[in-house]
Parts: sequence; structure tokens; C-alpha cells
Amino acid sequence: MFFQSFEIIFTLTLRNLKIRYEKSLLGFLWTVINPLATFVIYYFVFARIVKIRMEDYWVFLLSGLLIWQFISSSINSSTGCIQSNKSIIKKMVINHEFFVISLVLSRLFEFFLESIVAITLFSIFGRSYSLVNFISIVLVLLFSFLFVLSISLFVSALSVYVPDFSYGTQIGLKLLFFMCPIFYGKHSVPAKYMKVYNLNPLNPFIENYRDILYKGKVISLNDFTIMFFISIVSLLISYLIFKKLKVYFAEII
Amino acid sequence: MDEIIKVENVYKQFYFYKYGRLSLKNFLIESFSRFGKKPSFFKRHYALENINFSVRKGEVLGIIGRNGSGKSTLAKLIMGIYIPTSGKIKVRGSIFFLADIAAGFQNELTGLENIFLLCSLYGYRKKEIRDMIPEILSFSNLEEFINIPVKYYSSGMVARLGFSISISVNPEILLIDEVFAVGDEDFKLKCVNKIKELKKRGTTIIFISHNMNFIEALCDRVIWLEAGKIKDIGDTNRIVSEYLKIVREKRRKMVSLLKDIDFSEIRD
Repeated sequence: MFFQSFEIIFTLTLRNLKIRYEKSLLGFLWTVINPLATFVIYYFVFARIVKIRMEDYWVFLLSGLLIWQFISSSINSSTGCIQSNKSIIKKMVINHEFFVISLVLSRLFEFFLESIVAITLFSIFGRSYSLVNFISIVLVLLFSFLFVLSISLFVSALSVYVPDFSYGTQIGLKLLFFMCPIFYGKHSVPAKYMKVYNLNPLNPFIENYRDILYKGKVISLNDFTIMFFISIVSLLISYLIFKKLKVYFAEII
Repeated sequence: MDEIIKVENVYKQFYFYKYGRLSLKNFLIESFSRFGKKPSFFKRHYALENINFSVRKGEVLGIIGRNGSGKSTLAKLIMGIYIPTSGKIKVRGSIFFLADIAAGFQNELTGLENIFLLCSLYGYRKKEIRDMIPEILSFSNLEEFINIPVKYYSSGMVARLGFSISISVNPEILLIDEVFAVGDEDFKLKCVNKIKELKKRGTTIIFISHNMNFIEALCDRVIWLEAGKIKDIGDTNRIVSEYLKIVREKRRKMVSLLKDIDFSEIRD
């Protein structure tokens, strides 16, 4: 039974990736082009116009943007996740959470590929990473997957009932982009805003991911515990909410 | 007793927003216009009331009734897609639901990819699906088009693919909801023969259709739904002839109405 669920999720993930890239000419290259293009734009704005002074700022910015794109695109597409699987939901008995899991998994896969490209790029330009760094990266990827999944489950279920929620999510993501340490670091946050900054549960994931790539950091036990705690607790809560709400999905969509 | 499906005292209620949809505007209108009283935003509607029946293993049960009589709702309840408001539905065995021709196809994917997707959602392994593909292809006659995205298929082709998959996954119970509205006569004939073959093999089939010829040819028993209630249940020939009496009466009225219209005026 467990194995079967796993296989269904795998099939759905593959389908997501196929649908996303097959109809485009460049196909899978978009996984790399998309973040790079975004990076170039942001780099121009923040390094050349705003003139943020930081050593190797491009490494700093690119790594922050990569994890942000994973977070934001997962959450953003989860608003329509249930709706877009209407044709299956209305005809089959299938655990609805599989759709959300496979959606976030397909984004994670892209994120994983992007990370590899980024690491290669950074290595070419003089950075070196050890095995411990790689293990740290995998851990961060795993926990951020779980945490993003919990947000996505919540968002996808709620936007079935209240379509306005998806508009709200888009605004929320815009705000969140500036609240998260993506183009700035923790050190540049003024002391009076530090309380607000620390409330953001996404920060540990973003900071850890970036610090591994930028500073060659290794995840400490403390980091591990924080990420573990945030992701597991939020996943439990949002799964319970999702389970309650999914009963009427087929009737509403 | 080898009852494979048992439906007991099932009610299904749907809620509708009173004003079509819930919006801030309607919310304010309702809250203020019924000032002091408790506002009510929902209209209730019983799609099905007090449904009781059971299906024996290997039986072919037809469900007939007018549009909106609750046939498809009943099918979805049996599938477990909808949850009954009250009452119990017991189903023992795997079900395949073939409804409005496309059995959950993804338009962007090719026919072949859809076969893999659907079959694996039904719990088949990749290897098993590969073995099933020749049968699906030969039954649906779609070898030529199997690598084309399903969105370019005609509705007849989609129906053919859907039906071919549904018989290949070999479920214990097959729920067919008005699939033969499309597809040419050759294919319909092929399907009827196939259903008869499945019946011989012991597959339980629930068959929803407006086509009384199919119902008569295939079903052991028939349920006649009328406005969400079971109007009649039992022998196929008896119920179908009663149903047809009403249908014919309506058709006669329609024909006489059409005769009264002066089409030359409309054209001008």
C-alpha cells in the first residue's frame, strides 16, 4: 500500500514535469533559463542600481533566489492545484494530497537541478565544497520540501473553498519576497525590525541554504533541530486541515 | 448473500449559495435585508432521497431517469467520490468509473501517456501496463494516434480510448455513465459485445444510459430514478416499457409543437 502510493506520487510528478516542459521548444532548459534570467534582472537592480556592497554578491543573490523560486512557485501553483486535477478528482477515488505532494516534488526536482547547476557555477569561479556541504544541502532541501509542502497543502485546500484566497496568496508572496533575506542578509536588518524578521519561519531554510553555498557552512545540530521542528509541526497541522477540507473537493470544483 | 454493492437509506444533499455565488455584495445584501433575523446563505437541495438497493455479484444493473434525476450523483456516491449526507454505502471490490467519455484524461499528454497515468492511478505497475497496451490499442483502434496529445482527439476517439482502458484494467465492478452518446455504430456494437463478455466473466456492471435499446439488451435489472427518488426497481422489460411510454408521450408533444411553428417566418 505504501509502495503503491509512492508509485502514484511518482507518476503524477513525472506528469507535472512533462506537461510543464513538453509543449515548449526549449523544453527542460527552462528549468535553468528561468532562474538565470530572473537572477540577471535582480542582479542588475540590486548590484548596479541599489549598489549593495558585498563580496561576491552574485553568489549571495543567486543562491537566495534559487530557494525563493522553489518556495514561491510551489505555493503559487498550489492555489490551482486541486482545480487543475478536476478531471481525475471527479472520476477517481484518489488521495487528494497526492496532487499537492507531486506538485511540490516536481518543483523540488527543478530546485535540485538548479542547485547542481549553481554549485557547478560557483565551483568554476573558485569556491570549493566538501562532502559535508553536500549532505547539508540535501538536508536543507529535504526540510524545506516538507515545510513548503505544508504551506502548499494549506493553500491548495483553502483556495478550493475560497477562490479569493489565491489572489491573497499572490500578494502575500510579493510581501514575503521582501521579508525574506534574499537580496539582503540578516546582518543588514535594523535592530528595531529584528523581532519581525525573526518571526518569519522561512528564514532558517533560506539562510541555511545560502550560507552553505556562499560561506561553505555546515549544518549544525541547532540548525537541524530548528528546521526539523518547524517543518514537522507545520506539516502535521496543515495535513489535519487538509484532511478535514478534502471531503467536499469533488463536489465544489 | 453475495451482494457486492449495498446502498442503505442514502440521502445526498447539496448546498447552493442562495444568490448563485457567495460574494461580499451578496453577503451584505443578505445580512442587511434580514436585519435582526438570522441570515441564511444556503439553499438545500436533495439530489437523492431514501435510496435503497443492492447489487449482486455478476449482475448488470441499469439506471435510467431524466436529466437531473440523480443518476450521476448516485454513481459518484457508489464510487466514493461524493460522501452521502446520511445512509450507508458498502462496496466490496475494485471499481472503475467511466464517465462523460474522458475517464480523467490529461489533455496535454499523449494517448499512451494517459494510458500509463490512468492505469498507474488504478494501482497497476509499469510492467503490467505494458502488457495491457496491445489489448487497449487493438480494441480502441488508435495505434496511429497513440502518440498524439489527447486534446487533438475527436470525442469519438476519446470515448474509444476511455472504454478500452476501462475494460483492460479489469475491475470487479464497472460503472458506466452515459458513454455511448458518442462513438459510431461499429464501436457501440463492439462495446455492447464486450460488456456481454465481461458479464459472462462475472464482472458486476452498473450501466447508466438514456438509450433504452442498450438497457434492454444488457441489463438484468433496472432502477428508475425520478427527482432523486427510486420510482421503480425491478424487471428490465417492464420498467423500460413504462419509461418509454412516458418518453413517447413527450416526443409526440414535441413533434406537434414543431409542426405548429411556421419555419418560413423564422427564416425571414
